Amino acid sequence: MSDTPLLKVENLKTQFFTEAGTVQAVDGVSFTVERGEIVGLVGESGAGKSVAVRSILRLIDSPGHIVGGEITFDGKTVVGFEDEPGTDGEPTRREEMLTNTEMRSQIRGSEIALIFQDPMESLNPVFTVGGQLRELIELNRGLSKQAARDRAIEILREVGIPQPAERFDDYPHQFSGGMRQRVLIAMALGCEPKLIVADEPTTALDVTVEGQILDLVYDLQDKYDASFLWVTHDMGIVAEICDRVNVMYLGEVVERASVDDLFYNPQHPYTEALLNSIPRPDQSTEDLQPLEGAMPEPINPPSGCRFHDRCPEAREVCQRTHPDLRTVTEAGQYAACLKHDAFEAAYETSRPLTDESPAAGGDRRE
Amino acid sequence: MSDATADESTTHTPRSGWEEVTTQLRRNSTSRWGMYIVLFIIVVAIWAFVDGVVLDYYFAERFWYSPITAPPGSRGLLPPVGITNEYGTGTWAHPLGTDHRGRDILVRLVYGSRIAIQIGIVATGVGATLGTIIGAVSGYYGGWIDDVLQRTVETFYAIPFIVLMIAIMSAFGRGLWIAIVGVSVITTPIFARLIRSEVLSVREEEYIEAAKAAGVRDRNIIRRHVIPNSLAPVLVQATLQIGVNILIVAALSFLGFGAQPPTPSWGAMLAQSRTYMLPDPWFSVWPGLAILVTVVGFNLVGDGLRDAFDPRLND
Amino acid sequence: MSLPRYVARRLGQSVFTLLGVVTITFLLVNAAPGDPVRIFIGPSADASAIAAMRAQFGLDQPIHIRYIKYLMNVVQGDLGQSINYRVPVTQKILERLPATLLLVASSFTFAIITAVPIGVLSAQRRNQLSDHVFRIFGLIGVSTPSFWIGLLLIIILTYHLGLLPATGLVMPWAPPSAVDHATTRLDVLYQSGIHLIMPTLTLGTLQMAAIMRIERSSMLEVLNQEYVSLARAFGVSERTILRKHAFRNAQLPVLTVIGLNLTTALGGSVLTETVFSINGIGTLIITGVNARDYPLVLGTTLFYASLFVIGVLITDILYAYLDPRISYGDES
Repeated sequence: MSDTPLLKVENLKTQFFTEAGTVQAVDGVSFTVERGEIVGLVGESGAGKSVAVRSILRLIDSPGHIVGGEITFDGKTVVGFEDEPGTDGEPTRREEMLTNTEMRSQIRGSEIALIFQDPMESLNPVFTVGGQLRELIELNRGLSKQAARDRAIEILREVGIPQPAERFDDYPHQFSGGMRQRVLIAMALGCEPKLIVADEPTTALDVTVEGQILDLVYDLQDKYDASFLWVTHDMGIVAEICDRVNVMYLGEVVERASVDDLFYNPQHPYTEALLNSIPRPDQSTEDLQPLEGAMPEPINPPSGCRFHDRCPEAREVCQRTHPDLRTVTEAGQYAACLKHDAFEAAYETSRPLTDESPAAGGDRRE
Repeated sequence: MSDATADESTTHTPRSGWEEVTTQLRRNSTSRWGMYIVLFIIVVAIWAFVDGVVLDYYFAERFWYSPITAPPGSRGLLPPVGITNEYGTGTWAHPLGTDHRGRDILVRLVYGSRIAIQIGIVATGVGATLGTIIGAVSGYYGGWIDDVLQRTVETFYAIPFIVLMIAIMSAFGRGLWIAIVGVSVITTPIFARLIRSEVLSVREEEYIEAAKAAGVRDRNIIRRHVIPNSLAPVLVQATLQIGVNILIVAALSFLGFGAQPPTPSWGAMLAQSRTYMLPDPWFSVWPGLAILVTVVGFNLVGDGLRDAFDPRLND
Repeated sequence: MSLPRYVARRLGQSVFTLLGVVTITFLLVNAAPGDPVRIFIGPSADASAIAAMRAQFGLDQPIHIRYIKYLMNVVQGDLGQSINYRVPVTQKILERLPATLLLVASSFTFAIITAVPIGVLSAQRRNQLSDHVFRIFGLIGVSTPSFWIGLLLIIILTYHLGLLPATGLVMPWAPPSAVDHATTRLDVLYQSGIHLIMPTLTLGTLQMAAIMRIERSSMLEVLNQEYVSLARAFGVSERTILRKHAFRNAQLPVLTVIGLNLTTALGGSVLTETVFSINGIGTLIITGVNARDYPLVLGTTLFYASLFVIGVLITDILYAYLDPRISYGDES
């Protein structure tokens, strides 16, 4: 094992240039994934999690663009810009940054695979399940058609599809939602990538199937020695499978910690709020506190700390000063909250904000 | 797809209201042009209706030319202004030239707009309304009602529109009102089909279940829930259908069915021009252009509406 | 449901549709004012001659008897006698059918082979210059009266440039002796080709524009689908995505539009035949209507409907072939 992380994302910025204005979907996000690790990326819908992971594969469609930051994967530069912008004001790509063709042939599928969120929409309805799986294995593992087919059947068996050889020529509509999700997992595993990015793969499934899928992933992770980046809004899943967690709010990482630290000693009020909104075995249901208000639009983020208008601990200083992510505990836990001494922000002497306007955003969405 | 784009589409949810849709329409420059064209033609057609039908061409004859009879001493087949042919040189008195009887082409185009717009809008409106009711009933109840209605709709679909119109007009006469009834009849199945498929998907929604469980009567469920929820595609289709129906009306007039001479209509002008088009193509060019521009206008608005309702395909 | 059963069911439905067509046209034609016999014989004919002719065509019987008799005859392939031409309607139709079929087939071939690639290209180059040009062309194409295109083509290509003949149609299989300016088979084919160009453009432009528009929007819709994102995320090239992953799905709505457009095309053939003086069943039905030749109008309408039904059946089968969800019973 080398000591550099498998995936390193630094100060990533991805923006969408829409008619209504520039949406800063991902605004200076940094995190790493070590080899053999399962890292969580948690946050509400709209926090920028999906955009962040799709930026890793450079799969951002227009009007979205990666405008800054650096992503390195296994020694390769997936995203890297010169410090100085070019003459046209656009960021200049560094020499070693992979071309689009290299991304396609060297990274996507073969090195980093994505498990898609929606099992009902992610398989092509007019091709057989086996054919779709076989094609991806053939392409990314460089196998012959027959070898890829054998491998596809084998992997279908591993993800728990009964009678995989018989089901190989079935079409997606003949599979249940849970079965289709297993096929999506088989696609990722079958390409034997070093990193698997799971984009809320269990959101569309019911709880029992979700449990089975999580068990399956846990087993297969050992066997295939893959690292995982697991995107979810569900703290329960985080507790179950992740080693380390990054909490995202409005395009930024606001806390980073090991799962244990995060659950027992959260350092950011947003993390606390998220934890308080889910049932836990060590608390009674009366303690449940749903998160107030909705996340504001990333097109016009609040000044200062982006969470201040929903934060129960917000003070005046939070309206003015934007906290970056810093080490706040001796255990090496990171948080972006001015209440910690590391920020020296005169938080203690600042006047608390009384909570009259819970949120600017309007209806609560999920 | 991704969080940010998903957010985008939810904040711009099209069904959130008419305001959103009209804003979208106005923002889109091509559909704005479509609206200008449509408004202009409708104003002209209303004028043609008031002066032509109600006042019997009072204003046209007093201040301009009669679209029915040639002004005394005028020459036939004059070219448009600035062009000379064997019949003479175009003058500003007849900027687009004259037809075979010496009538001013521009005045006939203006008064001919009435037929296109009247049939286009009235017949499409009637057909859309009837089709919506039939389709809603058919899709909502299912069973034998659905079967009977579907087979009937398919039957009307199976006969080419023009052929059916010819059959209807040869049976009942060639007048304007017969044409309106006929075009309504051929328009109805299109909407019945459209609404039925919408209803089939809406029917399974939970709020319909809830309404049923609460004992709301079927008729009220259709009226209050099913139809309003299917309105967007109807509106889009209706706008596009006005264009199609204008083309059908023109085609019928061209074949000699529809408003009868001397009433000016674009299709009939094209039919008359056939005899003279080889020496004098202008006579054929103008009415065709009028039809083209009008239909383009309705299609632009229809496309714009569709984009406004369905932002995924927005450009 | 297996494919043969699906086809059988659709065939059964088609029979009902055609029965409906016969009923509707029969009622319409019989509601028409004006006596065909009087029109044919002329106003001066005496009463006994008229009565004799009425009896000859069965017009003296009540309408429901005539309807049932007509149905029975249709089932046996007998569409009755044309009052105007004094020959069996079937014979007259079969005589005129090849021209119409040739015209419709060549228009659809032209429309499909041009519109599908252009539509795909337009979607692929969305919002680039070529896309805008194609879209403007598509918009104008669906907004132009087809017969006007015919008139303009005659004005330009025949009158001013003298390139193409303005009237008639030459069947490619006609004997050289029966064709002007032809001594060999090659001459016949050449004549057939140059006679076919303008009618094909006249009838085909609208179809082409309509197919192009649906191809583009369907392709765009499919390219937005999650399974296309998945293919991209797994390193499949854009070319393969376009040709394999997206193309087949995108053809489903296109097929539906092509099927439904058949009715527009068949209707349009009436106009095109009129503009170019082609002796097809389109001009036949106009003659029939003007002469109040009931059996002829009924027969041609039924024939048009049958052509449409067959066309839709073919597109349905293709659809079931392209979309596995249909043939396996998930119908609706």
